[in-house]
Amino acid sequence: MLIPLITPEIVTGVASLMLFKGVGLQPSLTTLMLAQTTFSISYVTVILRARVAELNPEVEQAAMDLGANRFQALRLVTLPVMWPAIMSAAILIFTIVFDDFVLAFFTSGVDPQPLSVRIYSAIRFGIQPSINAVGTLMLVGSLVLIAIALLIPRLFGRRGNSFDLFGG
Amino acid sequence: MTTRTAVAERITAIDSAVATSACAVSLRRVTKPYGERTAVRELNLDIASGEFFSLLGPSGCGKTTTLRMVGGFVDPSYGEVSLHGKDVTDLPPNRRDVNTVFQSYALFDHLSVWENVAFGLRRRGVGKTETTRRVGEMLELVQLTGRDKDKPSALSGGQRQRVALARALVNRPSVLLLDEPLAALDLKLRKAMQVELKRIQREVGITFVFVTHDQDEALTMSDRIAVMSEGKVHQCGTPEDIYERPATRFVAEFIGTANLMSGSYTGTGIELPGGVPLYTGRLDGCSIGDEVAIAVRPEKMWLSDLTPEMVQTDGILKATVYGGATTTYLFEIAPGVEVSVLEQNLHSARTEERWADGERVRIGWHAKHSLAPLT
Repeated sequence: MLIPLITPEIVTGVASLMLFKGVGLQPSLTTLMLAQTTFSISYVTVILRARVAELNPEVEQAAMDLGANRFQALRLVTLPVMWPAIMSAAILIFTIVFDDFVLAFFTSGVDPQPLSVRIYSAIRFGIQPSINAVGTLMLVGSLVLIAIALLIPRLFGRRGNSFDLFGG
Repeated sequence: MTTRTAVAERITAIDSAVATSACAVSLRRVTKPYGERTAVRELNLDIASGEFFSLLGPSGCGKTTTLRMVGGFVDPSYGEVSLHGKDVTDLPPNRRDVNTVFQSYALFDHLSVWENVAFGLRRRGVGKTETTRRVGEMLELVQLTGRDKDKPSALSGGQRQRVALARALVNRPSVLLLDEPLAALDLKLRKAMQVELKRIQREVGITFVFVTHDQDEALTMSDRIAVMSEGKVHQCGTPEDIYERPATRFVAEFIGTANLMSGSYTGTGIELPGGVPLYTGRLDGCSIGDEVAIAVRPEKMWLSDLTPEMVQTDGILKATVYGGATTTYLFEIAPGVEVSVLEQNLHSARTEERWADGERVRIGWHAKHSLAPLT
């Protein structure tokens, strides 16, 4: 699970490209998504595993004791507790994938082209003002998202989160 | 005297209930190994309907595992668990008519007190008006009316404990399982909750199966106690049975304090280490030369008003411990054999008027108070 975290990204990129070629998949949105998902799962695992380890197993048992089946216990008790961690993981992954160039370069097709790859192609013909603008926006956007991702567990985690997306 | 009669009647009722197999919980040859060790082995237990039943033992004796097998969280390797005569060995927790109060309380922190208590009713599809009424009643029973909108994190330890209790009881289970529910509370609160739990149990009339390692708690609250050690039940009986007539040496030593005296049986008594004779009279079931042990509770040993028919021996006073209501004297009656004697300070502390360390003092007790012979 954690291998993509320690492998150089270029290795993952080239390996994915070769794999897709081998099974006859043309670089496209599908291959891009497959590669990025595989790569991101390791981050999600790291973040969520820490939270799962903190869970009190008796809480889920209590839900089942009170008549919930496994699925209901997960939906009504475990997920609401996990929700902040899931949200931070999602935002963090968005930032990482959005910023990613290497993996995107190897696995994306011509259309649609990820922003990072598109900027790279544009730069080859000289720096245009629009590139500067996009670059700044990306930096600010990434910083904001990372800040939110880090703040979520503090806002909701400690006092037990108060929003219940799934209803009681 | 009336309470004693009431208790006796209740016990008789319980005994006959057990006899007619109207058991709330019944375990037959239940076994559960954990790795090398056997957590519970060949356990047989019958718990009568409406009974306050305690599983008592040191940590790791299998009492919690036993409780979890009744609740359905642990599957026995073999054996049968039945509730009210119905085999539930293979049913998951949500399909058993039992509820559990967990040691950690396991409250749902993201839900309010009211939602916590209503959780079970909603899962069972109880109507809205009915739910509101029953949750209200239950919060009143545990004296938490007015705290229904609070989150569990805003409550004190004792209040959280009561929410856990209400959340389980509101479903009106036929059996309520309590896994050391008072362990996390401080001493004063624990004493108060013991009385409270007993009151609630009497009010609702539900069978309580209570796991504890605290012998005082078990003795004061239970109708019957099963003393467990290493996955086995050593003795199952009323608190009085267990304290006054322990079946094994383990029970005698685990419940209360016991002065253990062992040596070889001589026909008229026991020869203690160093050749000191102890004339206990005949001991049933022992033949001359057997290694036997007897035990006597410290409060059953007397230092004054001794009568000739008592078992008597001399002891060298080693220490006097003044404890307010009582004074404990520590004597050596034979090389390496120490006994403690508990005296009530009925008039005033008589410590000074009595003996100095090293003095020889006569100790006596009635033969019927010897817990003997123990194996």
